[in-house]
Amino acid sequence: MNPHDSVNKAADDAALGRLLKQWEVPKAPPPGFSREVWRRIDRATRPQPLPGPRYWARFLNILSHPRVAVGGLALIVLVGTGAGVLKGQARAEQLTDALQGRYVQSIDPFSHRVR
Amino acid sequence: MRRPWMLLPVGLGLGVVGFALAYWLVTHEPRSRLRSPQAELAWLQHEFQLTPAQFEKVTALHEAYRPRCAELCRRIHEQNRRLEEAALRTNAPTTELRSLVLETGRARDECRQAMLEHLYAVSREMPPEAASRYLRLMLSSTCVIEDARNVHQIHTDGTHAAGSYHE
Repeated sequence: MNPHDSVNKAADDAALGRLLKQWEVPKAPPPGFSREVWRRIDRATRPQPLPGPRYWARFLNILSHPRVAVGGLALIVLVGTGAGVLKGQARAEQLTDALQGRYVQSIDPFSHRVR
Repeated sequence: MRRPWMLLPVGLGLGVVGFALAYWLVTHEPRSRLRSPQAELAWLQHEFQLTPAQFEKVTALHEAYRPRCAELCRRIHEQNRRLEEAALRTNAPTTELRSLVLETGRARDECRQAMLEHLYAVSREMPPEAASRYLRLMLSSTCVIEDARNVHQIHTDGTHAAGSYHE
């Protein structure tokens, strides 16, 4: 063993001793600390409840603002009308194809068989 | 707002009404054309933007062509029936069968010629752009030109790829 190592070890021990003398035990945790911890753990592990009447009340409260209400209604009408236009266009194309098919059938005796 | 919950059914109701109204407006024209007594001609008029005078001439041509088409239809049907009967009576191609095949083909060709004449006659009553579009559409939709899907395609390697005859 190197003689320098034993000198260093003794110095470290002295420093550690000084540090341990300075160490103080912290004050006790605030009252109800343990209960609060368990309450949080319990809340985190419990399944989330479905939106209840409180959420509905908050939602309806938001709706009660005239600007929000008018905006929401306008949005619903716009979405409904847009969907109607898209669906209608698809149906109109189908009907136009059916009409074209009827014309072709009226002049082509093979159209109903081969095509 | 005193009753905010009322907004939900009212909003949904308005959305449904908007949907129905838009759907009705967009499909109104083709639906009414489909219900008209001559739906196919109503389609022709709308699709090719025919004036009343052009539509009248096209209608006259259509009406004149219908009996001829019906007669050709009847002949083809009769010819097919005879060919089928003859084909089922034998297990080898007879002279009668060969002649019936040729006759069936002739009836079909006659029908195609008549149809082509009709298509040209109708297209002559249309403005040039509409006439060209009409001919392109009809030649690809009718049996005047054999559909590529209905014929065997001979590949360079000598194999045959049969297209579907019936869809």
